[in-house]
Amino acid sequence: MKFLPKLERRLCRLKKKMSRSPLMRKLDLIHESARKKAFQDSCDAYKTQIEMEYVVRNQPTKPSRSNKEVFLSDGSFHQAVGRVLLIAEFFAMMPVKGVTGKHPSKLSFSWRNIRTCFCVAFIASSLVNFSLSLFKVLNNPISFNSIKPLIFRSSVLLVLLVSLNLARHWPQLMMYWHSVEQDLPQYKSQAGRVKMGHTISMVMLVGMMLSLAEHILSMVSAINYASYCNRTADPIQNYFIRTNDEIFFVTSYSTPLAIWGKFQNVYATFIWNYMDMFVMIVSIGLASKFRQLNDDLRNFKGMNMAPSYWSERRIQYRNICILCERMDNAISLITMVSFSNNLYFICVQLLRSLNTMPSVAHAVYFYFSLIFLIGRTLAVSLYSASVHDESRLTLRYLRCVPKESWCPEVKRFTEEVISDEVALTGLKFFHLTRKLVLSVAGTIVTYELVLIQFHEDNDLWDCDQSYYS
Amino acid sequence: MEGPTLNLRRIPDKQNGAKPMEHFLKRETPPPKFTESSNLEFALLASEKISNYGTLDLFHRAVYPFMFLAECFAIMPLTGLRNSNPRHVRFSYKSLPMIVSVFFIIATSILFVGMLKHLLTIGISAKNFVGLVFFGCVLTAYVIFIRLARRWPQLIKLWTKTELVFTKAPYEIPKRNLSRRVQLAGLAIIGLSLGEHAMYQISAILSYKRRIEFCRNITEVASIDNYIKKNYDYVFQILPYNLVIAYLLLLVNGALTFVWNYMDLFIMMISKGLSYRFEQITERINKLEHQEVSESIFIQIREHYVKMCELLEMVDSVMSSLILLSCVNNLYFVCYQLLNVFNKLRWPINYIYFWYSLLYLIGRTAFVFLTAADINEESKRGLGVLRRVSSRSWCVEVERLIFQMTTQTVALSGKKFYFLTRRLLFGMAGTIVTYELVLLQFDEANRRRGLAPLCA
Repeated sequence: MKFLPKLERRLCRLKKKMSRSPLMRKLDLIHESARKKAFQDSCDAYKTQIEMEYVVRNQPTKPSRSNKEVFLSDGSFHQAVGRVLLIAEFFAMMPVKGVTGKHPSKLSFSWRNIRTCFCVAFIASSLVNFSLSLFKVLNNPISFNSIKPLIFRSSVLLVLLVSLNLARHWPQLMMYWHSVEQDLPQYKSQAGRVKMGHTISMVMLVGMMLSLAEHILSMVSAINYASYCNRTADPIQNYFIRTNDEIFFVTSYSTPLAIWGKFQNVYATFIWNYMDMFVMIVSIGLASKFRQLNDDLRNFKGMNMAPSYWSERRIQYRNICILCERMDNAISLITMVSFSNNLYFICVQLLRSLNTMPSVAHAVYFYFSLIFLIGRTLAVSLYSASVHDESRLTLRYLRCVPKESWCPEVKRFTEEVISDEVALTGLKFFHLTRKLVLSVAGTIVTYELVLIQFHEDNDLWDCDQSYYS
Repeated sequence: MEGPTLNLRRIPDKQNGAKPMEHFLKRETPPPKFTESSNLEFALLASEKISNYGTLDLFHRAVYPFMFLAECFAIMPLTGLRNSNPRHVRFSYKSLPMIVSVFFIIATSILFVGMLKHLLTIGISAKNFVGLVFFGCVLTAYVIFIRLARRWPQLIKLWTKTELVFTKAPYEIPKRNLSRRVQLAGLAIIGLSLGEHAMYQISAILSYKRRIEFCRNITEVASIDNYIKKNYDYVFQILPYNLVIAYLLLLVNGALTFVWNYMDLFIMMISKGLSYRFEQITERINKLEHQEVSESIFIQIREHYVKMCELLEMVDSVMSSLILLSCVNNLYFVCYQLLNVFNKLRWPINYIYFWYSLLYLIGRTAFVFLTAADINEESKRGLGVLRRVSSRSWCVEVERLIFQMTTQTVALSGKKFYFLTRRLLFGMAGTIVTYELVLLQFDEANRRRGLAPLCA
């Protein structure tokens, strides 16, 4: 609106010089209509922002290799999650080709790909392992503790199957995500753009480091246990017999089987951790989309904006909600398995903590793994609840809309935000909000109080019954 | 105006012949500020300069006595609280209150470590865990209060800026003004807590003296040194016994009890400050009943309501950790004390102390919860009159205000996990009773054994 003050000054000067003439009256009318127009139109700043975005989007990409843009991330979810999915591919999950590419149109899934074959082979071998585990459990007295390896392997198997299914739909999902993302108001600086990518990388890194530490501690504790209950003279053989006892329950010891068992174990532990990481990462991505919209609304808070502005924002909000629903349909089963898994393992481990610890190494491993488990559950719950929280923050900016620019569009937007519950779910049984964390904690305490009554102090290192693992 | 601005909305100039009323109500939509602060500015005429903050009914003045008391115990290391203009409140790491705070934190950590070592040797059980929980809670409270103090100057400035509107017409001061309310409640809590601490000391000292009198096989003389050595034996396992250390120990214990109470006192003061302003809004709405009201008044009321909601959200983000800690603390201690309800105690003084402390604990928890839930209640009380607005005065702003009051939860929260409303208090009471019924069954065997022998 830079011309209006100038016009105003010119008018003042003219008014002082000349008397009221028809020209002046016409100028007054123009002035009046310009004011009304300025009132009705949206802000210039908003207009220039839209123009800038169009310019940026229509710019042809330079093919030079040494260009800075080649190395900069454009802040999209596909690029942020690329390296995470690459690591998962090494561990037989998410066999999608082209995850590290710049654009999601390069993604493709095919049954004849080597990744998919590796994934299917690993599923087959997990199935064999699971049935061996089932056989062993059925041949021993069943208790709340003894079904622990069964629950572990069955959830890993379920997650593998679900992620294979997810990989089939992943290219379409990412293309849809990309289309929604491009439509949102873009960040102006690189700092805003890479924030989501940094958070995702950091979460993945910390998660993997901690789970590696936990696995190493478990190996140390298992070595301790194996040397205590030595069935044979060879310590390595003892170790493999103890940690993969479901295999050597039916067959005799052999080195290839031991190596296969160890390989299964390591992969299963990674996949067990990865389920939670994956839910966290998808939540971070969705919440950051809502945050992008909210940050733009914050820039124009309390100002008089045109109905077209509100209409555009409402449609963008709706698009993110639909994206959230589609992602939720895709990963709902993983979320459900992850939550039930965490609930069961926390209950079991808390119960086991009442036993006396056989050695220092075992105590260190046990408490580290319990704290890691509880911390990881809390992190998953809080990150996934942040999607719901972030979607509600829009209300804060909608209630500051002044009276003059209140229109049916804003009213519709407000009512939509309030009435729609936007959140990740677990198979639509429960919505992941902060209230859920409280009720899960209450459930765990209630179950513990009941289970403590059935508790008998077992010797964890009884060699005949393997209470280990 | 903070930061660089670009003037996007033309200021309606005075030559337009705007009416004085409209000029008073002009809403300047300032240009976008890329900061967290809200853009709704209140209409303060330039001629009104706030000369004396001390005469106004401000929150900063009302809580000054208690914040000063807290400063004596080095809980919130702030400087410049004495000045009635909140602009002078400052937090700095290199100040005397901060040093005393750090000293108390170190002392609490020593007590915590001593207690932990002592418990690890004699075995942790549900009964003797309470000391560890007490020290842990107080240590966490110190750290949380320091973090709160870092954000306090910004918060109190925003608070005062927001509530300046409520200090002049058309808002009236309710029957008891803010200072009176806060001070009454604060004095009650401090008085009762002093009584509880005194009774604890009396009970411990009397038990100690009577034990020495009754038992023939104990030959030690009843003196202060021996009493302190016996009562705080977990400290003297890691520190040598010394008169200075003994008196410091008593002082630190008193300070820790004060901090334990101050958590609830602080939450109560903040809640009273917020619900007081919502009450003023409700009173103004109530006065409009049966009147012809123009739209501009509703616009103003809604703006003030939104401003208060934003203040509440800012306060909530600063105070949430403290509220969570206080709730956990209160819940644990109430559960723990209720477990001992059916225990047999040796002397009448023990019974008196136990029941006084239990009733004080339950009363304080309920009082803090009800005060905090009052914010939610007060924010919705205007709905009755708003819904009865006549069709002639009805406008879109009334509709917006009603919609906002009904759909938004205006309440303090514990890190957004739960909102402090009356419904929550009811639910928590039910949960406590459920857990008590289960836990009392576990303790049956212990209780049947009765009192331990006195002169062991």
